[in-house]
Amino acid sequence: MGKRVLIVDDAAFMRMMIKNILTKHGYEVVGEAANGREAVELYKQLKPDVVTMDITMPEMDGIEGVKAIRAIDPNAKIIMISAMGQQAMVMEAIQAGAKDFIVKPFQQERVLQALERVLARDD
Amino acid sequence: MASQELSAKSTNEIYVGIADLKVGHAPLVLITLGLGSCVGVALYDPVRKIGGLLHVMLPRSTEFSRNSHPAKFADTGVPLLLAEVLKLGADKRVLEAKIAGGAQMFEGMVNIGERNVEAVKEALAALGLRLVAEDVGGNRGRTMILDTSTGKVIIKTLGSSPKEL
Amino acid sequence: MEAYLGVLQEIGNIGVGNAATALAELIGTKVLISVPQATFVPLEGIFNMVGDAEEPVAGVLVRVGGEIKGTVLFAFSAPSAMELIRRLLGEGFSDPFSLTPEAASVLQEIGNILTGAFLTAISEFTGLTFVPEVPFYTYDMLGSIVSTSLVAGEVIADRVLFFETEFMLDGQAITAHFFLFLTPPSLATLLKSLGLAAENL
Repeated sequence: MGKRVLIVDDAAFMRMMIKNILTKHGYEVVGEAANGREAVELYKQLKPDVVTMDITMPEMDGIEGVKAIRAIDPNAKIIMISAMGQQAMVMEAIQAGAKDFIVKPFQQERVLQALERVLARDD
Repeated sequence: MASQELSAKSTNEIYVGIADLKVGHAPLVLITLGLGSCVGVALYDPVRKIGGLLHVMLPRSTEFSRNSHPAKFADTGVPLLLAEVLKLGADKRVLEAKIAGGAQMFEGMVNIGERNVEAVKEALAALGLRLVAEDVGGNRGRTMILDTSTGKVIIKTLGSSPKEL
Repeated sequence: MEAYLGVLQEIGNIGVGNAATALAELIGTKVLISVPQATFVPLEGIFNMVGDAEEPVAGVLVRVGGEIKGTVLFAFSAPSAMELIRRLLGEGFSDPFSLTPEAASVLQEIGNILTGAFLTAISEFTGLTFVPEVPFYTYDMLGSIVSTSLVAGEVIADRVLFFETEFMLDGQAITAHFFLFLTPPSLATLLKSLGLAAENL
């Protein structure tokens, strides 16, 4: 069975794009959240294998979302997918506990590689 | 004759920018474009056919340290508009005020439009000016046109036909 | 301070170049940009700069915080907006009034990605950090969107820095106007980051 993914992005269009890529390649998208708060709730309910996380979102942004999820599950595997490619932002996300950082717009291969790599790691 | 009137009309148009005001008498037509959260204020003396139009951006000048531009704010713009039409010879007792704008263009953003409308109404009341018509709020941008020959105020919005205020 | 316009134009150019690359990757087509213009404009003259203030446009507004303060605004003509949505969503809409939230999110996400790319390039060049907010979308007259953008970004000084360029895709089948409005203190911050003193802002 495919690995279970939670997609977090406030843009419905972007969630759809990521979902298409992942389902086409054998992943199971178990949930979609439009902000950090929803992501935390869904993470608790669904216990996904990996999370893709946008940064700029209403209510609770992705950095806060990463911190909140890692507080619940220190082993949570989260990959940032954001338009904010600034160095300071990437550092902040990694320090918060994100395993990788993909800048939008992305190549399909880049997303798939990041998921494979993060899921292969045992930490 | 009709064509003469038309061409005369176009040269009689005066545009009022953001944080700006213009006054004049018949046959001038005062126009302000791009009223989003901003509020347009028209003052008109129907006897002498003198009018003025103001485009305010923000409610109160006291909330800002740099406020050299009175037409930017409701609390300083409305008194300035009154002073300017009086200077042209308008009679305060017959002046009629009409206002338009103050929309919330973007859902989920702080509603500055509503505060602008409140501040304009307060400023008009404080000066004893009569508000005779308004088209405020909602979520659409507006164009406001004051014809000083007739005192008519026309409001244009996207997706609906122009209406008289 | 007009002397600094050339510098600002160059910084803006770097940012816009990166944004154009991002857009090209997203749509999968070549993107051209017009020569960016940086100008100081008095508030009351801003409509003279933006084009036809009564033109109906699909507007995406992104407020920018962090070390500078301002607003980025993307304005798409109705046909351009419809064409972008058709290409990215594979679904056609007759006019911008009939958009579903999902279709509107296509335009918002383009605003988000382009603003992100624009700011990333400027951040690398200046060492400053910018924090873009969630994009807002509406379809309305350009002027009303511009005036509301100024208020939203607190760009309310008597003179504002106005930066403008045009994106053109597929031989102008799709065009988008890019506007950036900055407050005077933001300008000083930008110039200072480049080792330039900014007086009389």
